[in-house]
Amino acid sequence: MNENIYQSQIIEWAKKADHAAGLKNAGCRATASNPLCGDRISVELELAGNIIKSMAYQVRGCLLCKASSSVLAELVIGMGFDELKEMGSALEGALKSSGGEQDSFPEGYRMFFPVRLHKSRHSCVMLPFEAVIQAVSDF
Amino acid sequence: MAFDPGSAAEEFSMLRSSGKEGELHYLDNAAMALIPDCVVMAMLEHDTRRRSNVKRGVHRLAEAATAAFEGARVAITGYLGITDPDEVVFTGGTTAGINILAHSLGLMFERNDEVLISHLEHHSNIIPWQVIQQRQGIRVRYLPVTPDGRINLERAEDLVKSKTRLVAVSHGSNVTGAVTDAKKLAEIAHAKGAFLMLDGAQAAAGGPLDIPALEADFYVFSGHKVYGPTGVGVLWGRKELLKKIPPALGGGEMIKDVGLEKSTFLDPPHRFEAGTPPVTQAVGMAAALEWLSGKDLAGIHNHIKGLTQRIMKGLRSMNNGIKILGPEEGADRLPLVSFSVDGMHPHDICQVLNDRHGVALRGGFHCAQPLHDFLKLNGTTRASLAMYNNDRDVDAFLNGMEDCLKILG
Repeated sequence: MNENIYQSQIIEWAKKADHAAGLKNAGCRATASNPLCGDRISVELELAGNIIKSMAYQVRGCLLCKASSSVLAELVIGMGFDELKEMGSALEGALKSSGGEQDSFPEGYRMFFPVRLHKSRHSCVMLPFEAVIQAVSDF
Repeated sequence: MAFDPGSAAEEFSMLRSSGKEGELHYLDNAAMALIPDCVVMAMLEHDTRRRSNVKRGVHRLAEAATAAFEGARVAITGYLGITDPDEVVFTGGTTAGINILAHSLGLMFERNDEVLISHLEHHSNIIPWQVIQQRQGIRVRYLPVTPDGRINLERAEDLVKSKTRLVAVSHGSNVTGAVTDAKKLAEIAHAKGAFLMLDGAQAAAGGPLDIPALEADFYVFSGHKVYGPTGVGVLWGRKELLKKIPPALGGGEMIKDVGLEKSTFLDPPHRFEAGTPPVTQAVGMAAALEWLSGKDLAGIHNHIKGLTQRIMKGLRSMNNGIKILGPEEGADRLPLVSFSVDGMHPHDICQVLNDRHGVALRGGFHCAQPLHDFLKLNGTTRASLAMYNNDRDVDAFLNGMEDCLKILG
């Protein structure tokens, strides 16, 4: 297993965050920040009941935060609120489990497997979840 | 003995044993300097031979511990260039020292009095005054920063007013490395009847301080940045001022007489040292400062300055997207280099340098968010040097940055 954090997959996903745009029909929005490093993500969600139809986002942050945002923006489409929270909890648990397997990471997030060894970077991956969960919680 | 860069690291176990964990190029000294073995041994000797609480017991150990603690206070006067140990208050560190001052001197301020700080302060010299602002109704005002990262003293003439009670600024910035002209600021502050406090967290590591020459009224610094232990620091204040200031914290060791309605307090410095002080750490801090004072400080200064200049020149030669903060090479600046790289986040840079090159850096706001907001930067990456650093560390850093630009660019 390659334990290098900055694999090409992460960098490619992070580049997608540079082209993120806003939604015209956003039903809810939220911003989450990490005061330690200055990362900040603003998200907008278009909803159909409790189902997320689309997500737009703007990220000022590191590659991990950007890549995580881009992955989440694709995975979250069609997801219910509870499913979203479950995926966030599963990812957080997988990151905290330093001896875990790559399969313990949610589908789509397995490229973040090497990050589990760097506790100070877990919050970079989790910040988009914090913003999206805050948005739906406020809805 | 003339400073020998080749053998400086030998006094530090962490550097001698770093091979077990992989190569270590420690360039995070502005956050915490490594500790030499002799300081660890001084603390070990204290805790294994004289450990006891101070100023309370009459037994042999209590007297020995008290003598060591007060001896540390005397030893530190030498580093500060002062003669009266009663002006040395032991604290938990720079943050604790500023908070003690804010919650003692600050309580004497009245509504609409002003405290003048600057845009480049560490959060520890912003938040305590904002707390006093909320509680006492004072105003916190800010000196701006020049394009080369210095506190703009030209504006001090206007911003220090008759209502200004205290000017509290960094002696040396932990982000830009700029050193403040303390004497000039003291003249401006004193002319309007204000006091001057200097945050020496970064500047104090440069060698013995000539406190009288700075003409400040208060000076704070930490043990862990001067090759000493964590959890200890010093608040120095002019004795005549300390005598007029009420205590910030109450408890044992700081009282003269305790009644149910009213209590009276000891004279400084003990008035400001409520509870059991950091005895072992104070002994360690004194050992560190005595050890440092015995070095060829001019040789160390030249060595570190040369490395700092190599880093600045190396970064400048790499990429136009790299912006170095602070005064130009050769100017009076601390041995640290903060920089931003267009399109790269400081934590990504730090991660690559750590994972692939064994270089320890610091990235982010460095507890100076207002400065980064002022400069419109989403954090910076900082390399900071100490006496044990060498050309191999700088080589590793510069090679690592070249690598980083390829990977993340």
